[in-house]
Amino acid sequence: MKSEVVRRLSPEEEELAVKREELSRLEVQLAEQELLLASLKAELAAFEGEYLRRVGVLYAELDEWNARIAELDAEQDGTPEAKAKAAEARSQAEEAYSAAHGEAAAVQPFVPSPELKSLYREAAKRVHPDTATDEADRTRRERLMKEVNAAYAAGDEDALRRILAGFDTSPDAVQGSGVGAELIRVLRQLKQLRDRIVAIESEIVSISETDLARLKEKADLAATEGRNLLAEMEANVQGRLQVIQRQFEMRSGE
Amino acid sequence: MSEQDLRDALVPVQSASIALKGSQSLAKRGLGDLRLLEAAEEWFQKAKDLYNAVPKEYSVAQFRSALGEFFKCLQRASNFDPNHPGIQSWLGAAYRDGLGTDKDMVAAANWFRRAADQGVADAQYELAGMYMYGDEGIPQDSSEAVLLYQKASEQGHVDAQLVLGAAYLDGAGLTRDIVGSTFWFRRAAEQGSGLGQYFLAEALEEGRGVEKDSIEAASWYRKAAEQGIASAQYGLGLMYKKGDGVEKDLGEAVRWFLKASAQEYSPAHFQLGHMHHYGSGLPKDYTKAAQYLHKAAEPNEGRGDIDHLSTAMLAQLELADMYRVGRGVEKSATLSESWFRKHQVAQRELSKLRQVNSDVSERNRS
Repeated sequence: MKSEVVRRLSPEEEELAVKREELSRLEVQLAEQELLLASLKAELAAFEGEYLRRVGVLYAELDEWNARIAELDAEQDGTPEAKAKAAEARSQAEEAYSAAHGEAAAVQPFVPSPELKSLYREAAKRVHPDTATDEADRTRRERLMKEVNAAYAAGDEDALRRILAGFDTSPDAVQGSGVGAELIRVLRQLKQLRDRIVAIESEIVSISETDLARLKEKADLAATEGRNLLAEMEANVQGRLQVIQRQFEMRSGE
Repeated sequence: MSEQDLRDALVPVQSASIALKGSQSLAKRGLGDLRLLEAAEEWFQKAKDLYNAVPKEYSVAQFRSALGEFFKCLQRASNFDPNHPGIQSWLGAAYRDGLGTDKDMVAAANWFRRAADQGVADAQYELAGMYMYGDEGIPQDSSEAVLLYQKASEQGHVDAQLVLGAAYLDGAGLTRDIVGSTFWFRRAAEQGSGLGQYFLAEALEEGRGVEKDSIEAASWYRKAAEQGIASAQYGLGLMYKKGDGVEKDLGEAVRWFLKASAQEYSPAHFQLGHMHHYGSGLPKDYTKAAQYLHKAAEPNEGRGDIDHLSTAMLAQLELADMYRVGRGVEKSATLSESWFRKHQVAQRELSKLRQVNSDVSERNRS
């Protein structure tokens, strides 16, 4: 019988093993939370794009007609009040136009594939800045995490694969020395991860309280009833456009 | 609609929260508008529920007074969304019929007009009806009426299609156009309207605005007859009797005449009476013949209808004959004489009616 020397673990080493296990659990949990947040943001941006393209542009058109009517009134009245009203209506129309036709309106529908999601989970776990062990490492990871989020929102699986392939975790492994130093580092990472999970939770709450998220929630609810809320809103504003155009025609015919 | 009406209309052309910047402001604006639309929808539903909750057995006066709350809800709904086509239609109906408010034909026409402009077929149809005959404060304008009937018809409004078909046929408010008439009857028929099927069958039978086709006519008569249209049951019976478009079958003819007769369609009484009188298709039975012929000789309705008038005229002649010889009735020279006089009057009425009809078509043709 071959005798084996089993080295008994010191209490610090035992503690370290427990904490490392907890750390890897938290890393998985954090990656999941990051995925949730990134998905929420991407879905909202996509919804905003669709909303602006369908309803926002109609609001902008409504404001345009309103400005034209105010300008006609100003021309006919010539009072300072009428002129001020026309100027205000004009700037509102311009504001609405740029909002409805801006960058946000270009965002296309977001439909993440399971592969994209699992690449994101993996990347988030590996490069997450809150697993950094020093400032230089954190800076590098923050930059990478931004790239990961952007690639996810763009649905770019290849970019995620490139980030994963180029990421080298070895510096962590060789840093510091001794069980004590390692334990301290792990404890610090644990705290960072927990803080980030709490931060994500509160960010999700505050995002879902925005007007856009409320609107999306209503649209989603309507969809479960077989209704198309954006189409209903479109029809409503279209109807109002008809009325305001007729108003304009009557004013300009005076 | 005048500009004043539009100004009074409170259309929220602008949303409450427009003075905000960026795309988030558009989201806020949409959300704010949605709340208004939802509130409008809620009050609209409440109004409809109140309307439907009024007991059916109420008299007209009770019905109207029970609708006060209904009208208030409808107005609230309209304040939240003055541009809602459904609410506009209902307001039109409420003002026209005085439901929970005083009758106001001008207001009714304005609301119907706004819904009609948004493409609501029912509102187009109702507004057309107001223009067709004119109403308090609404000038009669049959060409506007026809235009609106046309719009509603194109959207598949069956009643509008029937009115339009009839208007093209007798040239009311527009140039007589028998092809157009048959076109709209066919559209209504194809959508399953029994009356449309009946009118189309008539057109096909007479070759009116369409190539004469007895076989197709019979098949549309059958569809309408199966839906319980008495005049179509009679028409189908006649085709079986004559063997026109279907194989001659007096049994089938009797079967359909009986259905029409059960609905008090007077020309069917005549056919049954006549068949009993001469024992063709039915057993010879003078008593039954006399009963049917009496009913046919004095129709309760259909005075201006050629079928009713001509069968009544024939029934009167047969009755005069039966009273003269005492067949199925007690012999009576006086009654025979009186039926014969009625027959002569009816004959003159009928030829006048035929003259008027041909004058109308002549005038419209030129």
